[in-house]
Amino acid sequence: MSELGPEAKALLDLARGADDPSGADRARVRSAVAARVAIGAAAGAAVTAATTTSVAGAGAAAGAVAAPLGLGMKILFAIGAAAAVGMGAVTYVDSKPPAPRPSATASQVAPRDPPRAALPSATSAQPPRAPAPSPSQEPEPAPSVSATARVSPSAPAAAPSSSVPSVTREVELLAEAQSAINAGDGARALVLLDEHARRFPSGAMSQEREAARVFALCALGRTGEARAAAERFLSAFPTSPQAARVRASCGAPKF
Amino acid sequence: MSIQAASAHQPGDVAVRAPPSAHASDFDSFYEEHFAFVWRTVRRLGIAPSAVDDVVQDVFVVVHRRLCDLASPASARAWLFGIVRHVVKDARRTLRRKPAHLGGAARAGDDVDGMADASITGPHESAAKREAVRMLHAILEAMPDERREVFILSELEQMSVPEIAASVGANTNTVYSRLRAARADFEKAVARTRAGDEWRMR
Repeated sequence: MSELGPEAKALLDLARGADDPSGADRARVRSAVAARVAIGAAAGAAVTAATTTSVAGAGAAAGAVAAPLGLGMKILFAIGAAAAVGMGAVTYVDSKPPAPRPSATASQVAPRDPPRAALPSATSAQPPRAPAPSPSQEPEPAPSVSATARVSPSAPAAAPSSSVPSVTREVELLAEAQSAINAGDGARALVLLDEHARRFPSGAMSQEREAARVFALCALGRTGEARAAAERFLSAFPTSPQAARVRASCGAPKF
Repeated sequence: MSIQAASAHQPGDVAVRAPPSAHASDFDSFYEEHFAFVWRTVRRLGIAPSAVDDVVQDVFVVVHRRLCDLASPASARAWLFGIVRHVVKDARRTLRRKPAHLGGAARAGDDVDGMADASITGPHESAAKREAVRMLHAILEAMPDERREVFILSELEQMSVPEIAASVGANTNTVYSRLRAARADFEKAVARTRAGDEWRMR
């Protein structure tokens, strides 16, 4: 069907096979994808586990252990759990420093830990919104205070080392937004979702983000905007796994 | 992923649909079947060799998550191309902002030599082939995106026009007219290069 001249055809024939990958390319990318997918699945499970108030059924074993932990630990735990399930992600448990995160209650009772670089977004999801009184013996303001009051765009960017795949960071940010929605703090969720949109404009989780936006707007009672967001979502991702829940939200399109 | 299943009904949660167990083998065979197509297409859409790995990975991470949305295996390549072009577009935008030594400004044609060295085994044909690949990438790079993609899918992947139409989300008439224009671009570029005495393989 080609209408190209002989010279153009000759060039194409000569060049056609040269863009093919080697067997090594195939294997290398395959294992990189497997690793990223394992982390995505684990962190995805953590998103759900973190938002679950009561855990029932087959997930109880995993969820119950995770429940008293901070979100960061839950993600770590879920990554470990996925590895145990057979995703082969054992090495990736190490990609995050397994430094124990102070849980919300621990940080209120005990003096604050020194600021940690890792997972600031995970901690700020946990404490109650009332600004914690600054302990007098601790002149340095703790990072979680400002992170609770106002989400600075740079805060999540400080998260882990560059070796952590961006999908993992995406999931953390979304998990935090989801916690805010569950806590009824739609405004904070929107800030986090905007942050996510800015950093991962077409990230692997953009569907989930746009669905969460609908729920956040619903939580704020901004039904008109929720409806507009739901419409955008449903036309962009009509077959999304999230579509049913968006249709069941306050943003459900009126027919 | 039972953790997921236990709480899937939670209102408003950002549940990530975990793959059912059959999904893993589906994904594996999908990967095996389509990896080369994705790799070639990413290259031909202008991603520099140094960045191809990352972009192809991104494509398959998305595929892994969306594989359950694929309506029928018959439309797999069209569906897949939709993902590829989206990821590539995004990557090109990002790469343009990075310094060249990080794979930034470098575009497809720039370091084609390294790529050709890696992928061409026969020494007797390597010079001619390398030159042909360099030219092909340079010509593709100069084409408008809409023409470039239909040209790649038609002339290099030998896809049918209806399949291309499904891939790029345009109707067949549009694809035909883009293809005609792309072929004219290509012929012109080949003739120009030849006139410029840069290509002597015949």
